[in-house]
Amino acid sequence: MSSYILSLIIWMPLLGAFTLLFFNERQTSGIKIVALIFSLIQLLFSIGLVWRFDPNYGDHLLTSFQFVEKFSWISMSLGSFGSFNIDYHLGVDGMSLWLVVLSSLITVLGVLASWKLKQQVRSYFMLYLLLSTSIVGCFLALDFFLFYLFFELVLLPMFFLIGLWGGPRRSYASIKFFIYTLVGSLLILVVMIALYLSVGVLDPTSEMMIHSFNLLHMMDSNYFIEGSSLAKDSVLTFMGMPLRAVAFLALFLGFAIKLPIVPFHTWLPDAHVEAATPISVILAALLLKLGGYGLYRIAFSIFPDAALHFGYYIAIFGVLAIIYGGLNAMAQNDLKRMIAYSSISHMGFVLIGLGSFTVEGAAGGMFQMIAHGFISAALFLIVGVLYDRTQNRKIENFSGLATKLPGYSFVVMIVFFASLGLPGLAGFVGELLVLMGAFNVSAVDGMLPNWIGIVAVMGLLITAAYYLWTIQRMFLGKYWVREHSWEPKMKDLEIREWLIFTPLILGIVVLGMYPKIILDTMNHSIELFIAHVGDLKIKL
Amino acid sequence: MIMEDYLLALILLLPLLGGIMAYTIPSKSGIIASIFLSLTTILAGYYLSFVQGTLWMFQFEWLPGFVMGFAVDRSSAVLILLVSLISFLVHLFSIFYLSEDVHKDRYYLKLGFFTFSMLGLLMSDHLILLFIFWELVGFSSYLLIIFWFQDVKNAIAGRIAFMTNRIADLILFMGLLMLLGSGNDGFISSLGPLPENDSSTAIGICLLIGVLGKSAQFPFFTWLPHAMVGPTPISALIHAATMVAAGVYLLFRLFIVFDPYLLDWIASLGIITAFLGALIAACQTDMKAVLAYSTISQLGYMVMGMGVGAYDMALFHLWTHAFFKAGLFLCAGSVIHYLSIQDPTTAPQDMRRMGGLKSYLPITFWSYLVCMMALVGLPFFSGFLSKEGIILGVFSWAMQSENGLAFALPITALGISFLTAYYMGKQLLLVFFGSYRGEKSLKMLQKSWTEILPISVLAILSLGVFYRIHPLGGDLNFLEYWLGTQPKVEGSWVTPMIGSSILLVLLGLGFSYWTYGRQGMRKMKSFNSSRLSIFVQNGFYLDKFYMGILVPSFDWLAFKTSKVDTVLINPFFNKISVSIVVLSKVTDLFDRLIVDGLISLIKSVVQILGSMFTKFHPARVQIHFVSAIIGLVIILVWLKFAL
Repeated sequence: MSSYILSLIIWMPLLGAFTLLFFNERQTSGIKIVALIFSLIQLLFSIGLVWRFDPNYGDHLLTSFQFVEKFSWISMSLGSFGSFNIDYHLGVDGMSLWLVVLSSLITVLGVLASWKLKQQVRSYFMLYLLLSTSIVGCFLALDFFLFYLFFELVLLPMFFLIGLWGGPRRSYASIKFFIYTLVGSLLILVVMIALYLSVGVLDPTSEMMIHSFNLLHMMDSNYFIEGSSLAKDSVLTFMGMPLRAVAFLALFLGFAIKLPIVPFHTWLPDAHVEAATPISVILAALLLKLGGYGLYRIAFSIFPDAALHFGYYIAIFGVLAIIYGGLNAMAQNDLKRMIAYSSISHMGFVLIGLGSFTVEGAAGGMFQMIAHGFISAALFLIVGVLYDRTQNRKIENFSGLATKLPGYSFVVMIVFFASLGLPGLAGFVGELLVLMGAFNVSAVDGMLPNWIGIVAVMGLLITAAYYLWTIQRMFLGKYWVREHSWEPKMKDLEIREWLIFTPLILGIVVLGMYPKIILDTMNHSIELFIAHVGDLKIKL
Repeated sequence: MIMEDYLLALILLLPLLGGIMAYTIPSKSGIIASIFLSLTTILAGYYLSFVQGTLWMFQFEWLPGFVMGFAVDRSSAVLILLVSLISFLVHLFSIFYLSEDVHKDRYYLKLGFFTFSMLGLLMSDHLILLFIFWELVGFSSYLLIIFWFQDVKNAIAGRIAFMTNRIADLILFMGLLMLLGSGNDGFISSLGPLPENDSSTAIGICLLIGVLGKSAQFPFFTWLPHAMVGPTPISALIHAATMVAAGVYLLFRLFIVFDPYLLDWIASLGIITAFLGALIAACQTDMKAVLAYSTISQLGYMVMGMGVGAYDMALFHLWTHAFFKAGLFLCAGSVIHYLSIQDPTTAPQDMRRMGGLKSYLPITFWSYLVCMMALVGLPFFSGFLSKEGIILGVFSWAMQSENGLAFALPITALGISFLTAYYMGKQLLLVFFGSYRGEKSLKMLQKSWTEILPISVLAILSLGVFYRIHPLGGDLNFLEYWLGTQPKVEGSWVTPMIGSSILLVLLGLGFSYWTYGRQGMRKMKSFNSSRLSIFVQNGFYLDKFYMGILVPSFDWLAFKTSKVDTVLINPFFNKISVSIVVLSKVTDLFDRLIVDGLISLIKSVVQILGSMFTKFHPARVQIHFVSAIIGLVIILVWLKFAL
C-alpha cells in the first residue's frame, strides 16, 4: 500500500507553520486563518484515513499496520558495531487511528479557542502547529528513534507555550513540566539505546549485524540478538532484578509520568493552571494520551513478559490515581485545578485496563483515553469561558450561573455528567469496559483481585461527589458573582464558543450511545495486542 | 413480528419526543407533552391487549461482541401501562400546577426524559442496559428535584438525593459486573440461580443494596424526604409511583439470583423500613413529608413481600400504591397550590396552619378520602386487596419458618396498619376538617379541568371494584391476567387475620379522631414539643448523622489528601530541585574558588617568580638566547646518551 497520507497528516501543520513565516506579526487574522486552514486540512486527511481504514487488517500485531511508509533515513556503518539504521517508518492501526483523529480535531478546536489571542500571535501559532505535528508524529511513528524525536519535540513548543502565554506563575509551571517530562524521556532514551543494541538482523552477505530502531523488530522476540542484554532469555540482572524487568519499569515510569501516575503527577495541576485555555486543552486531551499510548505501543508490546509480571502493581497504581486524584479534586477551590486532578483520576482507569490483560480492559483503557480527550477538552474550555469573562476561576466566587448563563450551564451539565460517568455519555463506556475487564479477570484466573474493581468503583463515587458539589455551588442557587465589575461581562456563550463546544458534545453523546462506532475499528487491533501481550499468560 | 418492534419503540420514544417538542414550542409546552403522553398510554394499552404472555425481544450489539436487548412480557407490559398512564395524568396536572412558572418548557423536557428512562428500565432485558436506564432515571429525577434551583436549599437537597442514590447504584453496579464476570451473558430472562459460594453472596448483597437505595429503604431512605423539594407532581410521579418502585421491580426481575437466607434479610429490612417510615410519618407536620415517609413505609411492605416470596402480591401492591399514592400527592399539590395563591407564606406545606379545606376544595377532599382509604387498607378499596395479600403472605411464610422470631414480621405488619391509619387520619383531620388556621380568609377558586381530571381518575382507580368485585374474598382476575397467579393462602387463620387488620385500621382512624378531631391543635402542639417526637420527626437523626458526620469526615479526608500534594510530594520534589540548585551553586563555587583559584594561584606564582627573576636578570636578550641554545644542545646530547 503506497500512500503518503500519514506523512501528509503529520507534516501538514508544520507546513502551516512555515507558511506563517511569510506573514508579519501584525497580520493577526491572516495568521489565524492560515492556522485554521492547515489544521482543518489535517482533520480532513485523518477523516479520510478513517474512511479508507480496513478494520480487519492483518492477523498478527506485527503485520496489522496499514498505510505503512518506510524509508531509510540515516544509515551508516560503524565497523565492528555493525551498521546504524534509522528509518522513517510510519504506520497506523486501530489503536492509533482514533488518537490521530482526536488530535487533529482538538487541534482545530484549539485554534478556534485561541482566536482572541492578541500578543505575539505569529510565534504562538507557529509553536502551536509544531506541537500538533509532533503529537501526531508520536502516534504514527513505528521507529523508536523517530518516536523519541517526536516525543521530545513535544516538549519544546509546550515549554514555550506555557512559559510565554501562561498565567502569573507560568515560568515555574513550565520549568516544572519540562523537568518532569525530561526525566521520563531520559529513562526512555536509556532503554531505547539498550534495545537498539539488543535488536538486529545479521546481514547474510556481509555477515554484519544490522541494528535498527524498528519498533516492530523490538516487539518480535526473534529479532533479539542471542545473548544480548535484553534478549528474552537474558540472565543479566540489575540490582537483583532481571534486566528486562528493569527496562520495562524504566519505560513504564517514563510514560507514566506523562499519563500521569501518583506520585509523579504534581507537574500536571501546575501546568494546567498556568497554561492558557487552548494549551490546557491540548495538554489534557492529547499530551496525557502520549503517555497512555506509549504504554500500549511500546512498554507493553516490547516487554509483554515483564508487563505481565507487574500487571497487578500497575493496576494498583491505577486505583491509587483514581482515589487520590478524586480526593484531591474534591478539596480544590480553583475550578481548573479541580479538573486537572479529575484528569489524573480518570487516567487511572487506563492503568487498570492495561493491568487486567483482557480485551475488554485494554479496549476500555483505549476508549477511556479517547473519551477523556473529548471530555477533558470540553472541561477546560468550560473553565476558559469563565476565565475569559472574569479572569477568575475560584469556585466560591460564583453562584447561580444557571440563571444568567443557561446555554453555558447546559453544556456544563452534559460535560460534568459525562465526566462522572453517566450512562449514555462517553465517560461511562470506558469505565464499564475497564471494570468488566477487571471483574472478569478476577473471576477467571485471579490476575487481579476483586478489590481493585471495587475500589475503582468507589472512585466513581468520589467523582460524582465533587462534580455535583461544584454544580451546586457554582451553577445553582441565587445568581451572584464576587466582583461587581464582572456583571456586564457575564454573557452566555457566543457563536464561536458554540462552534467549539458542539463537536465535542456531539462526540460525547455519540460515543456514549453508540460506542461501536470507534470500538469496531479498534477492536481487531486490541485483540491482536492482547494476543501478543497475553500470549505468555496462557503458558503461565 | 415487526409491528411489535415499532410499537414498543414508539411507546419508549414518544415521551422523549414530546418533551423535545414541548421544549421547542414553549407557549404550548404542557398541552403538547400531554398529547404525546396520551398517545403513549393508548399504545401501551393497545400493546397490552395482544401481548399473550410471550416474550417480545429485540437484541442489538452495543459493543463488539457484547449483545444487549430489550424484552417485554406481560408482567412488564402492565407496568409500562402503569407508568405511561400516571405520567400522562401528572403531565395534565402539571399544566395546572405550573401555570405561572416561566420555565415550563424545561420542565416538560425533563419530565419526558424521565418517562423515557423509566419505560426503558421496564423494557430492558440486559443487566447493563438496565443499569443504564437505572442511572438515567436517577439523573432525570435529580434534574427535576432541582427544577427550582434558584433556591440553594433545593439544590442541596437534589445533590443529597442523587448522591445517596449514586452510592447504592455503584454498589449495584459492582454486583452486576460480578454477575457478568461469573460467566453470565447478562440477559435477565435467561438468568439462573447462582452456584452457592462466597461470590454469589457478595453479588446478592450488592444487588440488595442497589434495591435498598432506589426504593428508599433503611438505611438509605433519607434521600426521599429531601427529594420532596421538587414540584409536587414530580413527587407524585417519581417519588411515589414509579422511580422508587424500580427497586421492587429489580427484586422481582432478579429474584432467582438471591440466596434464600438473603431473602430473609430482605424481608427483615423491609419490615424495619415499613415500621420506621410509619413512625416518622406519624410525627410529621409537613403535608408532603407525611406522604414521603408513608411511601417509604409502603415500599417497605413491598420489599418485605418480595422477601417472603409473595412477589405477586408485592407487585400488585406496587400497582395499587402507584395510583393511590400519586392521587394523594396530587391532592397535596392541589392544596399547596391553592394555599400558595390564597395565603402565601414561607411554609405552604405546614399542616398546622391548614384546616377546614373540605368546603373550599371539595373534589380534592373526596379524592383524597378515597385514596386515603385505599392507603390505610379498608375493604372496597384497592389498597386493601394488595396489603392483605402481603400480610397473609408474610403470615404463611412465618408459619412455615422454623424460627419463632419470624412471627415478629406479620405482627409488626399489623401494627403498621394501625400507625398508617393513625397518621393518615391525622392528616385528613388537620388539612380538611375543623376551621382554617391561617391568617387570611379563603375564597373558592375557579376549577381547572387539568386539576380535577387527574385527581379524580386516580381516585377512581383506587377503588377495589376493578380488581375484585367481592370486597372480602374471591379470585383476583387482574392478578391472574397479569402474573398468572392467585392468592392461594388458606388456613383457619385467614379470616381472623383480615378481621384484626380491619379492626386495627379502624382503631387507628378512631385514635387520630380522638386526638386531633376533638382537641385539634392543642394536642398537636403538646405532642410536637416532646423530645421523643422531635427525635422521631427528624427521622431518628439518620440524615443528620450522614450529613453531620459522614459527609464532613469525607470532606476532611479529601482535604487531608490534598495536603499530601502540597505538604509532601511537592516539597519533596522541590527539595530535590533545590538541592540540585544548591549542588550546582557549590560546584560553581568550587569552580570559581578552587579550580579558577588554582589557576590564578599558579598564574600569580609564575608572575611573582617572573618578576623576581627579572630583578636578578637585567635584560640581556642576546646572552639569554645563546645560553638557551647551549642548554638545549646539552639536553639533546644528554638525551642521546641516556636513551
